[in-house]
Amino acid sequence: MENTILHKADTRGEANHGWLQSKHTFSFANYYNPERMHFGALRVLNDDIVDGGMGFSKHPHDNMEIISIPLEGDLEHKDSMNNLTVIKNGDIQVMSSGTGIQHSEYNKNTDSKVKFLQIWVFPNAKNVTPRYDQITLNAADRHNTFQQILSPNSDDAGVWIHQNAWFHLAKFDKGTSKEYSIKSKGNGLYVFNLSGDIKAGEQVLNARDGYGIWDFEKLNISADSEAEFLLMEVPMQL
Amino acid sequence: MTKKQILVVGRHQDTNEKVLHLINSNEQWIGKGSITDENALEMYQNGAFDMALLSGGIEVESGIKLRAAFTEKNPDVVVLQHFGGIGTLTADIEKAFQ
Repeated sequence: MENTILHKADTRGEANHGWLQSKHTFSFANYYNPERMHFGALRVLNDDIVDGGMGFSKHPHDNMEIISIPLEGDLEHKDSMNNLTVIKNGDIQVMSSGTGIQHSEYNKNTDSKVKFLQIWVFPNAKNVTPRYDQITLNAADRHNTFQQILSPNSDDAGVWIHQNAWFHLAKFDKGTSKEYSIKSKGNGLYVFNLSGDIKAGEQVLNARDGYGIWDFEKLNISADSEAEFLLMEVPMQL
Repeated sequence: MTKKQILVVGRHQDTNEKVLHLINSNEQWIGKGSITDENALEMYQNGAFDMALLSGGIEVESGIKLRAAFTEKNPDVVVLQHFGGIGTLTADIEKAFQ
């Protein structure tokens, strides 16, 4: 029997730092909700908006897979492995912090905001060698289908991480319906609706709603309007 | 003005040291660190910490247990989770103390 959990957009935690507006699906920093610590290996899902020219100063990470997906604007990344890059809408960035890494992230533009998703996944191996990667995705490849953007395999589509996880982006026209099949037994699926209205099974999801489902094999997702959403399949056992 | 004392619990020595450096560069705060739960609990019992910062690598279950132990001794202690690094660390600590 499947299990589900619904996180409506307006129940997320919130942080307002002036230059940063962040919505937290799971407990993060000053937002603490013991009922919302993680969904399996998915630990953080932050929906961030950063003012022009502002950003996160240099800070350390370790033993976490960190994925950034820009939704609007340009984000400049600089890290202790001498990477200096800019990621923009259409890109996906991954950082395996492993034994430790320091990085900073700033809005590259001074006259516009950058909006991005910051996602942390618990790794399946500790103290790995830190690594960084980013790729540009072809937006056409998610039209009315699931575009794989992340997997555990370095030779598969999208970026890869140290976890038995798969992420897909999709942009559906109104009326489109498609079935998602779980890739690895024991995994759960977290659906984060970016825009529009969709149904995950029978559950209606509006913009920025999140919905987790586990102990299932297939899930039908349909669009009640033009919609864009992110699917995150992750192990449920840590 | 009394400095606020902050206990940083993280599994990774190097990350802990970087977090402590950030904390101790603020003249209103004093940070001390531990990489094990046992040592952290001992430091907490013998100290007078205003905040416990759960830092990189702390397992979810450990975080729950530490939070319970810290608040049991001092219900007013601020427990701030910081699992694996936050770019807004300083601002989050300031906000938590407000």
